[in-house]
Amino acid sequence: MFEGSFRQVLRREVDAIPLPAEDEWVPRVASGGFGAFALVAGATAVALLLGVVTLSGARIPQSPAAEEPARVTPPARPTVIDGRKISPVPNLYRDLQFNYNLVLPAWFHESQAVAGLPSEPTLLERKIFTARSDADEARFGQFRPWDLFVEVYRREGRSLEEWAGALGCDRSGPVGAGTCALTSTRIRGATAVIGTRTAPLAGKIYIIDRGDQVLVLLYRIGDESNRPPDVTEATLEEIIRSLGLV
Amino acid sequence: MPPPTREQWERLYREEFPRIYRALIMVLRDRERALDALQDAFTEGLRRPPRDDENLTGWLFRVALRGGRRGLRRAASGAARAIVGSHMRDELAEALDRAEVGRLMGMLTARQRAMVIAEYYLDLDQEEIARILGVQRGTVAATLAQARARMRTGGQDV
Repeated sequence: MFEGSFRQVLRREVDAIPLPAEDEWVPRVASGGFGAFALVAGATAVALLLGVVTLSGARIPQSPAAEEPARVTPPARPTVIDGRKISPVPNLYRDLQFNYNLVLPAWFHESQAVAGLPSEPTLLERKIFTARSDADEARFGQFRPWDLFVEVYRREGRSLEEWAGALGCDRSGPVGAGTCALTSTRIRGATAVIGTRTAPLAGKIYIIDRGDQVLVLLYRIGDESNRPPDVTEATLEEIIRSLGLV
Repeated sequence: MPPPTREQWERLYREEFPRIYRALIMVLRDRERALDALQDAFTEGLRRPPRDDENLTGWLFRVALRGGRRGLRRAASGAARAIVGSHMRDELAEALDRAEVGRLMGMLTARQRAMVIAEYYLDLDQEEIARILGVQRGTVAATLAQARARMRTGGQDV
């Protein structure tokens, strides 16, 4: 039990978080106007990337000067509530290496917990987008219901249907405990197949032709006990519908 | 009320920086992203001042939160940087986990953390929180109730 109300304890503890040194954040715009501030802010950001950051007295190693991708502005999905136009804050995820975009709801983020998942030599990249907290993520291993996996594989001459079979969804019928129905389609002008698996391992897999690679988006449906708040199959489908191929 | 002048905006930023920076730390759990995002929000406020009827604290939090989310993706764009970022997150996570509230907040989704911090730390009302996150007020109330329930499972009377 807290000694004091939650609000008081929260304030006490949050107020104890150390601030950066003043010269890292105090604006210096008095004589130079916006351009000068932008310069200072930009230089500060670069200094932060290159410099030493202090946390609770500990010194953190220097960040390398990694190349920054261009900034993007999330497309607005205006909603009208009580006659007022509200601008929600979805996030545009850009994969600059494999040239695709996704619009994520504001409460989604890219999981850092990808280590330990099974891999294979043809897997070039795996991203997992989740609405779970770090603690909640720790509950799950390989089976991560309600999360969206985006994977890129070297194609190695296999057809999309062959890839579907390799990834657990075969036209020929039952796979494991459920069945997986495969349909051919086009997504953003690219040839694709969609596999829909029934319970108990319900979910969907999208396999998209990307020349000598295949782009795979998949999710599995869990039950209410492992469903993060505000995530439904419709949420995951909406993210997939937002896919852009560059 | 007219939008703030540059000097007013600078003064507001100086006054509000500590509170909003710490709020962002609690939500994003990443110092570099919090600082970068808040500076970007300040710059955006100079370029495009908030509307007359905006709650300026809420506006800064909203814009910085949006920028912080983008920062997560930037941080993940380079393997070497991601390693450093992970290290920093570990340090921060350790510091937050040592704190009672930090541990409880770690049980929440990012969205729940944003709403809890907005209500309990930034003192924004639920209408304002709804505007910040682009959801309906009822969603804010429900999400906060879920967050409280989840924190109660952590053994605290919230």
